[in-house]
Amino acid sequence: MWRIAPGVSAALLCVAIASFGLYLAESTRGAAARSLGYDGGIWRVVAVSAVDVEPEQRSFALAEFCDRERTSVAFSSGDPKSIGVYDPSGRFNHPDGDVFSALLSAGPAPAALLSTATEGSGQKQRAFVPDGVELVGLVDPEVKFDDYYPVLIQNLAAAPPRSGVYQFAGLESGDEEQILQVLFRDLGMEVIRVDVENPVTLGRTLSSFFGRVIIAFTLLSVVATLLVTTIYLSLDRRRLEVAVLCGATGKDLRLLVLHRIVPLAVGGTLAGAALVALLAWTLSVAMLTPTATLISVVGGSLVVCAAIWGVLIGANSWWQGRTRARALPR
Amino acid sequence: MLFHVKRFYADMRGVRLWLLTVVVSTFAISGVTTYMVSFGLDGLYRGTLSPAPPREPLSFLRALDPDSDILADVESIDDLQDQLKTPGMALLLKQMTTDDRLFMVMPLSVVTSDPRIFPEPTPTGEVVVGTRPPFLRDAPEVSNRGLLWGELPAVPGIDDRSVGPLEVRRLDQEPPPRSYVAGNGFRSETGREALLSLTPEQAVGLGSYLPYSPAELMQYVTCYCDVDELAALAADMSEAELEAGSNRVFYAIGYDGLIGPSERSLSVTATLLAVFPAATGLSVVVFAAMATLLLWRRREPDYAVERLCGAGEVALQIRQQVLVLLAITAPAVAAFCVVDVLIQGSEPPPPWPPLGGPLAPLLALALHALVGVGVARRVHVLCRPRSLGVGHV
Repeated sequence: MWRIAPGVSAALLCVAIASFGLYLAESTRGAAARSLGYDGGIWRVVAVSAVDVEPEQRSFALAEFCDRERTSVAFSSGDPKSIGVYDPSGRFNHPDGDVFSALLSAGPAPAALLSTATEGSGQKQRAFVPDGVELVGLVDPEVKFDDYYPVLIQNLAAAPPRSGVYQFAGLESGDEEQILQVLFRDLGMEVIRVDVENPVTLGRTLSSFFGRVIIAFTLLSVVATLLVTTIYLSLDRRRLEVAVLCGATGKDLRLLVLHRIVPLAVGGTLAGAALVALLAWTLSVAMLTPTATLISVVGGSLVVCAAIWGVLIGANSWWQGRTRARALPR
Repeated sequence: MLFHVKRFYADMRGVRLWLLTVVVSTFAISGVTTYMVSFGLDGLYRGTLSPAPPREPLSFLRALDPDSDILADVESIDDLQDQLKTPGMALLLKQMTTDDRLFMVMPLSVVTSDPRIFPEPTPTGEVVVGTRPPFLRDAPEVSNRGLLWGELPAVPGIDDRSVGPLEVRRLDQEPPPRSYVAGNGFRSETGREALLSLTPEQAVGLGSYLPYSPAELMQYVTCYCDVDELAALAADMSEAELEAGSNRVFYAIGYDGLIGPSERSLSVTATLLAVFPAATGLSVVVFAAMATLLLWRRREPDYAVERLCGAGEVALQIRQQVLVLLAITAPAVAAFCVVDVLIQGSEPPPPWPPLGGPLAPLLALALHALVGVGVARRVHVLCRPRSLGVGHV
């Protein structure tokens, strides 16, 4: 069994790296789907009404701010399933296309979108939409706001800003916190807290505590693979010693080592990639990541594995060629 | 005997550098694996998504409350309304008294959010509200008291005999086994938490206040009935709210509406996060098997000589197995225990009992067998009669 051990290690290393890549890709998409489909940083503001301001005036000020800063806003007061959206720059994405733009095209009239989850609930659609608000479309509940699928999505005319949670997408001016403070003072509200939720990236994931655990794990796995290869060559030593007795030089030994390890490494890595591809194919029904990304993640892991194995094999063949050639007298 | 002890010492000396490497890496890898698995199984502890639909018809309730204002100015608790007393909720609880297929299961903190009765945070526990829901059919009949399985740590307002104004009868039994789909899409299994069973009337008396709004409370409702049946109730509840001047709308959803793309994606990420440590762990097992093989190869000539001089197979086998125990199994178990002691106090605790319970020795045995069986076979080959004493290449 030990003769194929480096191949098994290669397969397992590839499975580990590719599964982490897929995890990262899927959590990126998942995080975007939890902020109405926006895949960038989200500024999250909790604010309460402090001064009485006319609702129309608030709607106007918020819309003007979004137009000026080229940003989009979604907000909710008590029930996160009922939200207000103003999305002039089309940053919020829905898998079915730009469904939120129906609210914009309604103009200054109060308009709302309703989730298809309300169909077959035994309630008339009219019951969900407040009086005086026009129902302009139905949306599939596929993206979330504040961890809930929105049921009623209204424009600023139907849902004027009030105390609640606000999420701004696409604020990139550099002094976001300050301009948000100014905005909410103009709206007659007091800001209770401001957070920024950054998108999931490789760098951010790896710099967290969880990321350090992942790095430690990957390193241990690479070290285990290196040790497996070294032990394998050590067990295979007699063959090399015979070659040395027959007059092989260090360069010949390196070629012999490569000849034994490279097919194992390549075969193992490809087998591991095939396993992960099979896993991804099985899970893809439930995944938000598109197939093209899945393919590029598995391909990218193959490249990373090839690089790791290049170093492992190079170091091992060099070391073996050096030590074995000297081990026996000529 | 003493001879073999001395020879075992020689075994260890012969491979000391390898032994040290193997012990250290086994310890480190086992510790990190324990931590990662506890981290990855966190979802399992809370309950798992159930992708396969259950056989019985299930339906759930939802509420849409466009006017709710969670940050409204509140001078004191007297301004607030008990969330179980709103017209819609009252109707739901009334239905629960006659229909035992309809019930709510929620954290204890939901019904104990009245700071006048419970000034301190209440202990973790689960509350079942309903009239003998399917998994509590065998519970004793007590009309005026709540039933408690397990133990609740005493805080002001709560002890084993009472929860607020309500008297409680504690049963000396484990919480009944249960498995059902909760209104948030998770399959809820029998937990380690205390379980308090209340009738709808008893639940109303305790006081459930904001931030637990009806929209949130709906997530805890499950009905073992058809969605049409629950839809009729939801329509009545909305009607009652409308009459009271509220815009709150209740509606029923079937099992299909429970799990969306985001939940499915979360279960996929949990799977991928479990594959990662599994693959790295297996590569470590491969390394461990290779390392024991190498340790054996280094000692093989000595063993052959000892065998020729009349050493018994059993003694040689035991020496190699003790070496595997020292190099692989013991460091792995030690690291598990150390990490387990460190994380048992964390919140949430790892999804296994302290020190692994009955599963831990089984896993340790499996690891030892996986690594040790190869060496045992080789020692056996060496000890065969008429063996030349030199193993195969």
